[in-house]
Amino acid sequence: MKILKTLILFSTAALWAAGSLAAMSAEEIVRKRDENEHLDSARVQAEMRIISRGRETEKRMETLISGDNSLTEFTNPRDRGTRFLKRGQDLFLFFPDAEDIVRISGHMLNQGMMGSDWSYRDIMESDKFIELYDYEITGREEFEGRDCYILEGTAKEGADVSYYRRVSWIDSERFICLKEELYARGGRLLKEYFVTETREIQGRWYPLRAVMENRVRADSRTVFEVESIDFEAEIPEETFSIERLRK
Amino acid sequence: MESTAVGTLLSSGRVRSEIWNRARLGFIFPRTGRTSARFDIDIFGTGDESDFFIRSLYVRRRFERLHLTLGRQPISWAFGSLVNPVDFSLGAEIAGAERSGKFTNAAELYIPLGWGSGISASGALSPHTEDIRGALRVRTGLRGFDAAANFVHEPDGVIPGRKETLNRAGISLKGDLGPLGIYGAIGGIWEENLNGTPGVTGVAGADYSLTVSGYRQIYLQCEYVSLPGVIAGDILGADETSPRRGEDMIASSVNYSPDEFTSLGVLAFVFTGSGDALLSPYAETDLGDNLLFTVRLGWISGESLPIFGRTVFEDGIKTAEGILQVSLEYSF
Repeated sequence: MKILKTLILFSTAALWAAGSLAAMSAEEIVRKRDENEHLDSARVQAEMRIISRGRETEKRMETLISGDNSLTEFTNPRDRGTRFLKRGQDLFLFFPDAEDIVRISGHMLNQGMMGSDWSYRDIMESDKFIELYDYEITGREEFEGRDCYILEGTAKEGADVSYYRRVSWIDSERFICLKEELYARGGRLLKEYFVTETREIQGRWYPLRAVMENRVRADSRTVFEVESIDFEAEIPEETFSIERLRK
Repeated sequence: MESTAVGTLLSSGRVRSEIWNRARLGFIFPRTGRTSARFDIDIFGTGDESDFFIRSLYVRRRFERLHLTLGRQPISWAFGSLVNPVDFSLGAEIAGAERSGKFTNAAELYIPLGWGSGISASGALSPHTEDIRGALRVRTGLRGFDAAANFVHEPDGVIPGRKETLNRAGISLKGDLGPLGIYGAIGGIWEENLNGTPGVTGVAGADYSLTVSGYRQIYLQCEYVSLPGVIAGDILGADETSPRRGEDMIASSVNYSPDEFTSLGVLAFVFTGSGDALLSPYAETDLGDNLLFTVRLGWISGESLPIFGRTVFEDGIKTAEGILQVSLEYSF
């Protein structure tokens, strides 16, 4: 009897320990997502298709990222040579025809980038999600055939973010966000983000094709497609300078 | 490629109509080591007449600590204002619209200092005399503000119709104040021999943007411009026949994007003394396949026409009261 009690006690302890190891906290999940999706340094070539009520326009760009800084250059015919330099919270714009370099006011970071459903802040955000939002796990469900944690993030006090609240479906195995709902402070659903293609590149899962759907306006979405990405690109510090904007 | 139909309403009641065609060609040269080159030309025609305008034709060499640009090049010190009273060439840009004075045959030496700072020295040949307009500019980041200080020496005759040699010095600042973008500039103008009265010019303005209903974007900008008589016409890019009176002005811009493809806006310029004004509503829409369609109206009250482009004469008298432009632009 004593042996049986010991066995039961041991088994219970072992199960509890295994359970603790398996259940991750919201913070751990978001940190793992950040490890995959946050870009410390990268060279990205991408295409953005803005689609609304039967009309469509296309933008192509190359972005260099290092820490808080990024440099984006558009290569499609209409915007060819237009460049954005982000240094911390400062944003500079280079107009190729005029060769003017103008600092863009901070409020513009929340506006749609080049008419898309992505804001400048969405594209150029350099902070990790874990630094901007407080998260809690609200559920777990299958999405597009993948087991996902559902996390709700609320903007931290004083965090400068485009969306006050975001509900994220994060792949429980690959730790990549597959779907996200983005809400205004008042609770209104503004946009929904869907990842339609992912790939493991240089040891991390990354969204290669994503769609941002505007939920305030019917039939409006922007498709963002990564054509190539290099997480190990060596980008010199002087890349992120006003001088480099002039090229 | 751009094709524009222009209708000008004259004060006599007649309407003058024209078609302008423009091809803007940019030649991209492969960069060789530290040397790059650029060639941009506008070829334009009105009716049977055609002409061209070289916007840039320069070579840039990046040395270890400085960059040298030689040839025809745009030189502008735009900092986000609608009117820039401390620019390298006064009147080179009004509300983002370029004038030919911006493109100049020049040598520019640029010394980068850190990521956001630099010193540039420019010497530009005058198209009218053998003199050289010389300038020095320092740009730096200052507690989140983009700041610049400059000095320009402008020999007589550089600006047609002007007889004095002028010196100009100015500073400009642009940054954020809470949710507002704010900017300002102040400049001093004085004749070389100090016989004339020095003038002080400046601009102070703010911009703000907001999103309505989750996707409709509104952008607002308003500024107050001080225009001393000695140089008012030059700052506004007026031609030599324009009145050179000193009068302050309020310039403002409202832009509304009802969707991802369309932009509606109004530019308004009002002189505070005389009440002369120009109101310019416009609509721009992306038709897809790299086609951009623009309609722009100009309603003019008083004698402030030269600010906004072409001077129209009828029997030797400036007479235009309104302009309608309809453009179709194709990029490839």
